[in-house]
Amino acid sequence: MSVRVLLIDDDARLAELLGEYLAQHDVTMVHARDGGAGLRTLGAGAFDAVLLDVMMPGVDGLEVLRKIRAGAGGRVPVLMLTARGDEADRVVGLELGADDYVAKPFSSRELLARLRAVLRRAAPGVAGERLTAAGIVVDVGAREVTVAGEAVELTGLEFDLLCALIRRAGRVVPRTALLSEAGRDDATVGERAIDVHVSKLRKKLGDRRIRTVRGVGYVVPKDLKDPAA
Amino acid sequence: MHWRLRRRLFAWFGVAVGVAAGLGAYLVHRGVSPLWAIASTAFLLWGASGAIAWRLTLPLAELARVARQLGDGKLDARMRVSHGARELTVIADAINDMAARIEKQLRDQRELLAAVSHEIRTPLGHLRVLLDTARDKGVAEAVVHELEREVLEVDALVDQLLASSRLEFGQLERRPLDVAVEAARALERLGVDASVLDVQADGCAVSADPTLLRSALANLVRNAVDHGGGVSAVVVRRADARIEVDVEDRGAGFAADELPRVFEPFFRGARKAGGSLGLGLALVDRVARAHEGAARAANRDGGGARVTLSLPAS
Repeated sequence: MSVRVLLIDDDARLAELLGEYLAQHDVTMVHARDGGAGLRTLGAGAFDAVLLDVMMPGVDGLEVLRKIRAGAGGRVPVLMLTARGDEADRVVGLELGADDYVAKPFSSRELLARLRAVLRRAAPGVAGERLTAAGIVVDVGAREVTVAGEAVELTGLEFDLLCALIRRAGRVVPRTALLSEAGRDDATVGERAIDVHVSKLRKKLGDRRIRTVRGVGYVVPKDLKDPAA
Repeated sequence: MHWRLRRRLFAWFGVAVGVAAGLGAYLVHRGVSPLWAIASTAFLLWGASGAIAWRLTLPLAELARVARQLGDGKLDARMRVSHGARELTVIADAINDMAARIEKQLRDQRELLAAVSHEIRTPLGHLRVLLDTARDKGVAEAVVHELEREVLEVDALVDQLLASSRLEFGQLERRPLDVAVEAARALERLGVDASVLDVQADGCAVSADPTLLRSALANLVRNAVDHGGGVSAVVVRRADARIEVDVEDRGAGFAADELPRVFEPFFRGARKAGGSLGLGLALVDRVARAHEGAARAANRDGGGARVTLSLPAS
């Protein structure tokens, strides 16, 4: 599938190089030099996703993100490019409604992988997407889950939570961001209820497959180190 | 200014001597024995000269205090301008002026360094994209991998440079931070599976400089990845009034004679160094001490090393 993404970044050379790389992978990239131009371009054309730099002169990335989310077509997937090290990554865009983020200097392969994951999530059920981690296999289209080869029955919410966690396997999903990650931030589920649902989910999948990071969130390991244990 | 100061001093002493002599004469006139009169006069003179000396040295003590604070890196230390000895306010002004200028110079330097670091990262980012493009175009993976490692090494050095410059002058910008959140972020940043993270306490808040704490945690994890055969566990826990982070690795551990030296700058143990400058753990130690904390290294019973960062809880 051909994909059109918008890069909003003041680094023109990066845009040139990344455009070339992404073109090899069937992704067309359009570049906007600053937030204002980015918002205009986004309004004018159809884009499947936005790559948004946090550190930009003038309107910074977080402000642009707010404007994208507030505007028409605000649900476009946004991947933030954060400058790490100094203060810039203090607010991780997740809380502000970014779909994912990578820290500069990033590996383009990783960026592409994250971009594809974000796009898959935006268009669920396309072409039998399968997610795997920690011995769990999720067939997103059929909404079926198997653990170590055995089918497991999950409720709708549990399934969405699991998808959110497994898409980010190996990374901690903040408790506060889990509901929106799962596409369930429509206030039908209270934040407090998350723990209850996650613990039910954990019971069904096995303790080691969902770990609680106290005070932060939850993480599904990519692999189980010793499956026998 | 000196002559005014001297004239004032001279006048003060004159007044003191005059008052003392007057008191002596008055006492003799009232029939007090001359011996008592002399004793009272001497006592009064002693007290007066003490008071003058005290007033005179007060700004000097203040000066010493400020000089010491400036030396310790507290560049916002300033002399209090006292109203008493007007001449001495000149010294205070000169010192305060100097301190302000040093503070500004260092701030400029730090900003320059931050800007330079950012500028260095930009081409590094370009390089990483180019490497992935080269990979796709069929350049040998081994070569690309080696190049990528070098790029990441430069990136890590920029990190350490930034942190070092902050530590050099004790310019900490403290903010409330949650160590558990920062540990999760450090693991993510270095691509280590975050399921190794075990948080054993609620509320692991510390007051720390974000750049430095992140740098220290990243260095702890990087050390385990590069020299310790990978991270086996990261434990965040509370020990009395301290928040401690243990990073445990799967390596051979430290040799017994290495243990006391692992936090020395440029120390490279028998553990494979792999191009590292040996600054990583030294930086962890410096960050810890700058926050009234400590860093420790130990070998675990089951094999592997454990390096601990310990910070006061807030």
